[in-house]
Amino acid sequence: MTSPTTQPAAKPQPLLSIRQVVKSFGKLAVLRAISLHVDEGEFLTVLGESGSGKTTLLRLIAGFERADSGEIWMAGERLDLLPPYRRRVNTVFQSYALFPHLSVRDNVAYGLRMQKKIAPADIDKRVENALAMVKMSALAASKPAKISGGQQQRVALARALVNRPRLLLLDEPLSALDANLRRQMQLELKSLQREVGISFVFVTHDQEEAMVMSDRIALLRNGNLEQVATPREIYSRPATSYTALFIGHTNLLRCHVERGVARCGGFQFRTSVPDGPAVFSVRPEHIRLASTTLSASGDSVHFRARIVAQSFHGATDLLQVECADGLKLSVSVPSHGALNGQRDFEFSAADAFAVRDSEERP
Amino acid sequence: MFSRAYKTAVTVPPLLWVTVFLLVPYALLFCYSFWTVSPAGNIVHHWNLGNYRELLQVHVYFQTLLRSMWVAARVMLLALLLGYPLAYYVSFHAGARKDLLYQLVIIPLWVSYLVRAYAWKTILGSDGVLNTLLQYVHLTRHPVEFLLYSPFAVVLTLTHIYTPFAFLPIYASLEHIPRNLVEASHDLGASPLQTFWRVILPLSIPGVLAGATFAFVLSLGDFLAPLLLGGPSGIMISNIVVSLFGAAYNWPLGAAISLCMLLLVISLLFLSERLEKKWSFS
Repeated sequence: MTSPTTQPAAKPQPLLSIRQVVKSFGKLAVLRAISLHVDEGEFLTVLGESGSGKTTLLRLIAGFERADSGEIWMAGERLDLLPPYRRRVNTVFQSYALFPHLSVRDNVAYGLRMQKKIAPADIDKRVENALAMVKMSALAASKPAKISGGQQQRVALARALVNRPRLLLLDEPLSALDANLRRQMQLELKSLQREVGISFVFVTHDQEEAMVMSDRIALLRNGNLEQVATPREIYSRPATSYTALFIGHTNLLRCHVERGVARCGGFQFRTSVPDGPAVFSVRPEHIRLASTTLSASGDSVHFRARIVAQSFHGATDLLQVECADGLKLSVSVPSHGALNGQRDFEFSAADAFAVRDSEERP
Repeated sequence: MFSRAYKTAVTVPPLLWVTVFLLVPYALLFCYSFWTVSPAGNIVHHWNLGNYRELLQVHVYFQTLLRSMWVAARVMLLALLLGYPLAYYVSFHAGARKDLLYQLVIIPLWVSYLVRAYAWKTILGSDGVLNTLLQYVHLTRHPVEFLLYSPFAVVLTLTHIYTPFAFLPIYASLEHIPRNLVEASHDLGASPLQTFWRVILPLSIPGVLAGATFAFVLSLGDFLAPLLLGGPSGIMISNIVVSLFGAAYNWPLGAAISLCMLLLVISLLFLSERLEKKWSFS
């Protein structure tokens, strides 16, 4: 409870604000009362599995779908009442949707030519600049069918950005590219976004992509927002067991807490979580092989387990281990060669993070 | 992969069919067009260019061909003007009624051509439905005569009959346009009308060309509609061919006209295919 006098100075208005938006197709509820905002110049990623409603959310902002209820505001104006061609929002489509009968240059010029106020000379200049920005000037006269997927992706980006939208929507724009090009484009896209300073709403199902690029991640699950936070926060402080499992790998420990001590099979450690059942997330990289030389500090949790499987991941090895009571855990250790048999492991109780139980696994 | 016997079994029958029922008749037609008819009415197998010379010298043939092309051109234009909006509506805006509307457009093709042509005779005749109605509402005192037995009646009937043929390829090309292109156009600030002119119409040109070719070529060669509804002024080139092969008994001249028509149609199809290729971008 804060009294009016101690309230912090009013935050600047967010650029986009989605308020209690509900959308269903027939009997299928796709979005259930979503509220979300996007700040000026922010890179927000909407992350979710297929069917989570992320593309529908994007299509509502672009204007291709109408919400059943709720409102969408942009820069102090109701956005959801405008037809798509009056919204200062542009989209990069999943399959790029380049016009096949127009050259790369005419594709990029398309949006500018629709606005009556821009002089043809200015259009040419802006188109050339946009093409130079995505390094596509040399292929300006080509038809889209004649250029590669990565190049089509750049053209789609230039075609959207040349209109200087307030907000750019990107619907899994990298999903059609191969892994190497994809990683390269992730970095390029991120630096491009910083350069132009336009807010991006980026939809993806790839949590790694979301982590690399975003200022904030909005994790969507079955039409509900599971958590909205920065990549670091969502990784280190997942609100729910679903988030913990979806963002990176984790071990979930289903414990019972009694007077400040959590118990789970052979484990027990101190916690501030109130008494009762609780779920803790322990990341594989927070569990290590117990060192025999150092005495265990107060908050470290020791256990013995059998190594069931080992897989090599470059700098680290991922171990699948099984405790005496049958509990299976993933452990990430520095790569030092083959490991097997019974070993002692430990993790710090501080790294066991209590999460809300979302029942189902992703 | 497939045995020789299998390949022979599947390729020989159709080749045989095409040879016997297509290539041989065309070869015969070709031969006939260089032969003549004796005054006694016998075919004289004497090779000469007389028939083709006659086609160039007797103006009625060329005039009838021009008139037929003019009829076909009007039918083509009307079929496109009717077929395109219909196809556009069914493809883009019909929603749940899409399949029903599509079937409604197709169903007339199930009805015999003759029945449809006769239906117009019933409608346009001096005691027909239209004249009865006009007199009933006192728009005219006497039956309007120009309706039936005129080029107008032929154009009207052929338009009715061949509009589905224009509709089908246009509909197919509209269905092939990825809907996200329409969304992309709106997204870039183009109104629905601008989107139509700049995206939908250019991408449906192959369908329009195919539909136009169907309507024109089929109308050009039609002989039943002019026979039933054309009257003396509505005669078309095929009627002349029919009479030359029939009552006039001048197969060689009929063959010469047929061959000219065939060349005309083949060049039209060739041209249309070239244009369609130029306008397809997939």
